[in-house]
Amino acid sequence: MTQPPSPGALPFESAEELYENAPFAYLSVGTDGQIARANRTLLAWTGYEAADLVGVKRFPELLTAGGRIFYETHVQPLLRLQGTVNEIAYDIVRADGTVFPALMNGTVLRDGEGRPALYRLTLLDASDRRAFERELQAARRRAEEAGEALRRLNETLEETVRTEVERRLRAEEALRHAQKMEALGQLTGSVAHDFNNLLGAILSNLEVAERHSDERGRRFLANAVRSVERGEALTQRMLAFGRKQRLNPTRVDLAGLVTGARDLLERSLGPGNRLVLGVPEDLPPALVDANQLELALMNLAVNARHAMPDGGTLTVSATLESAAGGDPGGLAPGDYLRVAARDTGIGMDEATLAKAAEPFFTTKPAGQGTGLGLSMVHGLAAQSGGRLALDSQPGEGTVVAIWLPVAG
Amino acid sequence: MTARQRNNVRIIGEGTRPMIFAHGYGCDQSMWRFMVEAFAHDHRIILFDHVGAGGSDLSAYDPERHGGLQGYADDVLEICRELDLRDVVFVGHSVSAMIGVLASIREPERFAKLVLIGPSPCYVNHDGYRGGFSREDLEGLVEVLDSNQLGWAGTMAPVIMGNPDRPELAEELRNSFCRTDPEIARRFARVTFFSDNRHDLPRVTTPVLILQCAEDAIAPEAVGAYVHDNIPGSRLVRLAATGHCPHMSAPDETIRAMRAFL
Repeated sequence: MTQPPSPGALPFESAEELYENAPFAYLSVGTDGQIARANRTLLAWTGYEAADLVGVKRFPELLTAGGRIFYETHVQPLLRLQGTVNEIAYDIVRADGTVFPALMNGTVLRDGEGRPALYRLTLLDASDRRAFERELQAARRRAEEAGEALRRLNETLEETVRTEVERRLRAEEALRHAQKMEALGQLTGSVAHDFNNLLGAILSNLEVAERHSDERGRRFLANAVRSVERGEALTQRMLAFGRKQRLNPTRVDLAGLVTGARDLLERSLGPGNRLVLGVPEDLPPALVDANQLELALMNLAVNARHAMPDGGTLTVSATLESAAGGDPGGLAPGDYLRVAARDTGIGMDEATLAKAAEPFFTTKPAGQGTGLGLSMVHGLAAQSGGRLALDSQPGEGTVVAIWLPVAG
Repeated sequence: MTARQRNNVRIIGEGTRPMIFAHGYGCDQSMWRFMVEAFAHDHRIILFDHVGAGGSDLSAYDPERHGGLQGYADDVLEICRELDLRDVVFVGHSVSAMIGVLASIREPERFAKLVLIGPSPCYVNHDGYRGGFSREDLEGLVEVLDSNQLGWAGTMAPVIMGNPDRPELAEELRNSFCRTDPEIARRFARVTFFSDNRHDLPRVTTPVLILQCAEDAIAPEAVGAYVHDNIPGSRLVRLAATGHCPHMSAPDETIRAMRAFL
């Protein structure tokens, strides 16, 4: 035993004392793993007596099973190859079976001939550090997850913006088209109105002239009257497109109307084409001018005939539909009756389809079409509180749908 | 990419007889240092790193191909084909012993002899078979791997690697030999320790030498005896060397046993 230090003198330290009480656990083990020496710190940390370890246990026995495998497969080869190992993370098994995390460094001590004789292992209690590492790992995982979530958000954001931009572009296009049709309608309507007045004046003057004419003159005048009447029919259609015609909307039973118009439609469709009607009897009534709707269907039949030069089928059907808010055709939300005329004809390309409802646009040869048929249907649908919808592709036929409000 | 590049193949030696060394789990071709010294003067030595280890091309790692030992065996066969090797002496340590077994079954004509150091066809205990480990033991290994490769050193290494003006930082922190990609090491651990190749042993037709260490914690003596019993005509040599790496801990004894067999 050493004497207690005298006042003012430094406390006594020996290499032995430093070894035994170092803040590291020291172990010297043979290359076969046999424990040759262990310091007091190791014994304190593990709960073993020196007699339990030295010359009795092998170092791998202080490790978990996974740690033993790692010792044989990683640590031993590393010690042999580089003479040292640095900061190996291990769980050390105490005498009572519990474990504590440690960091191990190792150095090879060589014999006189340079052959490895001992491994000097130092263990550092890494409880705090391992806990910190776990937190660090968890934080890194969270950061990675957050980054991933952000990346996904960005992706969906791009997608959302793209969809919204496309939707707006479509809506703007629809609006532009509607404005164009509106302008055309106003122009057509006002021209037709003035023209109709002129025709009216001509007609009444013709009637007066007729009374003052001889037989031969009346024949010419009758021709003139017929021409004026044809002109009036044209102006009526122009007015219809311009939504300026006088409509008489009533509750219309579509099944009855369409069935009643069968003869008219078949004649308009011409021989060699088939007419199929599919209008359920139990549909609610539509609010529309019955005569104008009949006229509209007749126009569609004429168009279908033109589209099916080699024969085909026109199917006229009606269904009950509902429009949600934001309908591209500008329909107010609510229930509608959709009267559709589907032909099996040549169809239309996109450019033709876009202009199809414009007044005076026709695909028929000059002199054969007024270009007012679909315009009139468009005007009727719009003036009735519904809309016209066209769907067509070249070779796929055409569907013309008239959406009409349900009679309240 | 050639197999030579993929597996970081190195060819050493003055001899003509090809001798290919396949490292075990956890290491790379540098573990063959003493064997190379001993056999280079009369053999053509082929060293390589399994994909994921050492200087192999990590981008060549294919989770499907390398999800089983056969994929590693196919890598070995590709090296042999590319170098046009015949009459090969294959020396495989630990898991590579089974990789050699699988390669020789697939192309027996290519191999002259197999030297299996610390082989185990199955590490997990089964009914009537003592592989030495329970499944829990092996799951514990994955935890140790994570602590060592995903812990502080692993986390800080990329930061330090980002300071190329101070390379000594990396050297201090990392164990410079036997580096492996952490994720591949995890998967290779599972492939290694959960494989069961017991039924492949009787299909080996190449002459086999088994080198069994005393007190091998990874491949106990009973396992070496099992391999010996199940490979027809195989020779078993029990070494005085202890541990799992006699080619490193007792190179002289290992070389003597191999010379006697060759």
